[in-house]
Amino acid sequence: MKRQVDIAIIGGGAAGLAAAAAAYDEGARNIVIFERESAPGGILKQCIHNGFGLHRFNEELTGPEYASREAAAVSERGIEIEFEATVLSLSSSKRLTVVSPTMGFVEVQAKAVILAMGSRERTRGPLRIAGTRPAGIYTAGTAQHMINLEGIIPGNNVVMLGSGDIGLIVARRLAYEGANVKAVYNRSHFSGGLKRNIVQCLDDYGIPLKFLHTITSIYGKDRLEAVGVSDVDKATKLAIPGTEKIVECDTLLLSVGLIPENELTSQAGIPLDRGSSGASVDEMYQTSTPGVFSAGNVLHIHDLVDYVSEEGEGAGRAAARYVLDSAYEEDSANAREEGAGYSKVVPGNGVKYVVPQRISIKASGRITLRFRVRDVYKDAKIKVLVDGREIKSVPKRVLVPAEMAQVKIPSKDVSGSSNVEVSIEFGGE
Amino acid sequence: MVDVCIVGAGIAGCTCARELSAYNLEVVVLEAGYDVACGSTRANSGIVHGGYDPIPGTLKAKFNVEGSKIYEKLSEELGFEYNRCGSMVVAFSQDEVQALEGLLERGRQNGVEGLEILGQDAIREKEPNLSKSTVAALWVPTGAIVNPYGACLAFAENAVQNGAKFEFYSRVCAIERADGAYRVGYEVLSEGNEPVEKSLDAKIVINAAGLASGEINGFVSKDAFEITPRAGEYLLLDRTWGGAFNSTIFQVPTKNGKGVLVTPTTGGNMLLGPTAEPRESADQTQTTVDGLSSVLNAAGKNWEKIPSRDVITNFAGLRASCLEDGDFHLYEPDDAPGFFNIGGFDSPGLTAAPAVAKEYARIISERLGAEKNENFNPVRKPVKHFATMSDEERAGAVEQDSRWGRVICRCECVTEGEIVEAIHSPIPAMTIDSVKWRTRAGMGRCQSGFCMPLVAQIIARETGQDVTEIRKGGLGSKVAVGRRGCLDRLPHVVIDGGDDE
Amino acid sequence: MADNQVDNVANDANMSGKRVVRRFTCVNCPLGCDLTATVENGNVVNVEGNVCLRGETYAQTEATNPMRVVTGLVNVSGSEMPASCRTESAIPKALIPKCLQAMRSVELKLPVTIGQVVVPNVCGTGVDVIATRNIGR
Repeated sequence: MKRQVDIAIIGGGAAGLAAAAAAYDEGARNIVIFERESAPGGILKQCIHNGFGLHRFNEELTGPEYASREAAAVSERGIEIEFEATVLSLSSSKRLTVVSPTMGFVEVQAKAVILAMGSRERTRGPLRIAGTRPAGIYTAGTAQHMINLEGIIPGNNVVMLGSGDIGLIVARRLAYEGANVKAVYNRSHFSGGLKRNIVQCLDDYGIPLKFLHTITSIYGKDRLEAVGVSDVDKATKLAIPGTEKIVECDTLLLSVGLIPENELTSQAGIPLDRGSSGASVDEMYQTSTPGVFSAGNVLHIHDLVDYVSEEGEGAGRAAARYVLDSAYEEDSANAREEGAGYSKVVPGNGVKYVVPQRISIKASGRITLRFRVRDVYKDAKIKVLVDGREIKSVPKRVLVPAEMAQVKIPSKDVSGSSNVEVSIEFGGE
Repeated sequence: MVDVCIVGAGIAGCTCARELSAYNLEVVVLEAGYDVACGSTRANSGIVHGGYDPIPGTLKAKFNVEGSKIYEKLSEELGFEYNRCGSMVVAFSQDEVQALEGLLERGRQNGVEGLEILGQDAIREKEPNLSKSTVAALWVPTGAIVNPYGACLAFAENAVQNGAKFEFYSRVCAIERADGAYRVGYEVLSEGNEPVEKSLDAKIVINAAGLASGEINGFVSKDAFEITPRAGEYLLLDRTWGGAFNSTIFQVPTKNGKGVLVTPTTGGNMLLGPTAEPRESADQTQTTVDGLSSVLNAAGKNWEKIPSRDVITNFAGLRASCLEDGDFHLYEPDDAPGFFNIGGFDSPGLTAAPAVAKEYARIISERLGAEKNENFNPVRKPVKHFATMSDEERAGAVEQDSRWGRVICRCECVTEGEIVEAIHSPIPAMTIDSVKWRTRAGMGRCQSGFCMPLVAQIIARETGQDVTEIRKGGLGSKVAVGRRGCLDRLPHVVIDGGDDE
Repeated sequence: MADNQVDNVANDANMSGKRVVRRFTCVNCPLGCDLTATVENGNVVNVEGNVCLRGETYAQTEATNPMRVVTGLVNVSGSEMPASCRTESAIPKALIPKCLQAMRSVELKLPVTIGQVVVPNVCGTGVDVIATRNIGR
């Protein structure tokens, strides 16, 4: 079966839902969301804790509540969502193959595509933890799925490696469900999670968070029986041989980072930014392939869903304009040549990546530059340099890798420049 | 009384079961584990060796070369993944070039076809990513890769189709000779229960027990051999690196074995390993920090820029090696007629197994005077994988059965349809790992993070169990401890009372 | 009434007339200031370690009346998926275990609607536990 659509949105999580509604409000109509699960909301469905929506709804919601509002906005507009639909391939000419039990196998030709596939969790593999391969080793998100969506308990005596936000939330969740969460070990000297989560998920329940420790061995044949925990050298970030201590547990949860799921992006030949692991985009969230946009965790990892929705809206509006305005389409195609008409945005000192990675000469209004820092910086300044000239300096008491930072700049300040750099100036740590 | 009892459902046992099922013989396979290929067969390099390595005149040389010659046809008959990608032994120095000459000569003596020594240009052409410091290579066009689990399962399923029976969770603990036959005593294991003792009488016993083959032989014969588990540790890389090498790259063998190789797998990954370290017992399948780094170091000689952040998993397998006599132990002990050993079946056991099985089936059928099984069907329909279908095939599959349209494992593109088929196959996949090994669900870059709960639900639904009963693999490996409410602790809330001043 | 006494464990110490020093980590920003609050007769008389006013307010609340929104799950008869729920507003931190116990003892019937009261007036706090997920609607 073949189908033509104006806008194909890959993923019905926070980014995709917001993109769909915004594209509709901008005037686009022939929109379809391909969502691989059977309900909208993506990962929000299993994030039953509160803390979502303060920016977007001015109230503190849980994940399912936030998702249900976003989904309602989409269904009120009559936008089609195909559930249990997996996009199998994406070409640079915006041709998709999609399969679902209800649609069957479908070829879709889209005028614009919005990439909103989200992210996946880093696993044990790249950490090269040695040992056996028993049951009881899960990523935090898998454990969260088991408990919150299926009502099953993954383990009784639990150890966690890494202190990303999902991990911290799941540690509390497990404690709430009667598990004994023995400790959270963290390889580096700072946490990948937010302060509020460390206090309210660990400290409140006396769960120790041990920095500069990592798991070096796994013991147990069928079910996990223990892990080996080693000290970590702060300078080399490597485990110190001979320091391993055995900690008995039946469950090891990993909360060691998220990776944008860009397999389809790469398949379409869209280059990725090594810093963000997402596509490289302009201020309209358009990738280097005209008419293909990217937003949310597939673009770069967020800590607040509110910003995911905001990006989704931006991408949705831009996609609608791309579809409705042929001039815009031509411009994008022209602009592709050798980056003509673009200022390049680059991460400077202390900055891991910046989104967007380029700003069009046609950009108007204020542009939000989002980025992450490489380390903990106290009493620092965020500097924005345009062709070497400082246009903005924002003092910050603290910047941490766990929190996405942002700075807004007027587009007129960068218009016609070739290079925009975001860097951190710091004296202390 | 059955005709043949085979102890062990690894590659040796399953190939024997299949070849014996071509005769009018009642065949029962007893396997202690939860699935076929639970031991050495599952975790190895997955190589069908050319046969240049074994010393001429040994059983290893004979059955390696014979096995290598019949694998391709078997893979077509039985529908398992096999790819004759060729292999290469690379030399980094003039001394090693001499060693290559030796291997070439040995290979010719063993009857390996098509061997040649390649110079640097030819090497580059075949393997652009191979280290520039290689000076020459022995090219082995008959070298191939195979999915060892898939092959083992294919033999086993074809055996079942032709009348053989498999009993899992059945650990043989005694064998006695009685009235010219054997009484095989075994324990049937189950989750949370005491083992149940059973026995079965068989005219012939095949000892294909891999790591336990020495012990099983000891039940009936004074002609003992001892098996030493030798661990091989591996690292598996993401499929994005699947094309990094086209063939299997060996280093010049040492007395410790064939050394660390870099090879594509039939699943499209790159595999690095193995080490070779003796272990104290057959359950020590753990990897070690030192072992994994030695794999990276050694493989780094062949592949200078190994993308180690794209390692998706590590694992170890145990070779069933006999250190005092390194050849295969393929014999019927004088003091145990009708008892056939397949002992010391380490590398190239995977390659040799089908040839050994044909030989044993011939001998045993003659011994028992068995006729050919006229209904024997040598063909097993290949298992379909959504991931490798064409667009038209995909469309057709979903139209026929909508479950083929529900992708469960996103990384490896595995649908509900093929998972359900695996669960209801002749040897049912009842665990997360069994489903993984058959369908690749959970074998990809997220390492089952997304699909494990879904696979567990499908197994539960299809087998009428609660999802909390579903195991990852063997007994004692349930993926959950229970439903909500199974733990009655309440969290202790820290209300800091403060310090008195 | 018994429930309400639980949350005053901290306050008992506070009210005992002695000077008590309490320590907290501020959660208002990533700086995570280590705060020291001096409590006398139930009143915070001094806060140190904060770099902004938000830290002072935080320490005062944490020292005298720490409150948390509690999120959890309740079983639903006829559904493998539990309903998610939360306290409609924050309740005293010390009541969390009792609140969880109350959530554990509930079994809802289908359908479940967002906002539906799951446990009214949980632990006598005047705060309802409400469902945060629709099931079977």
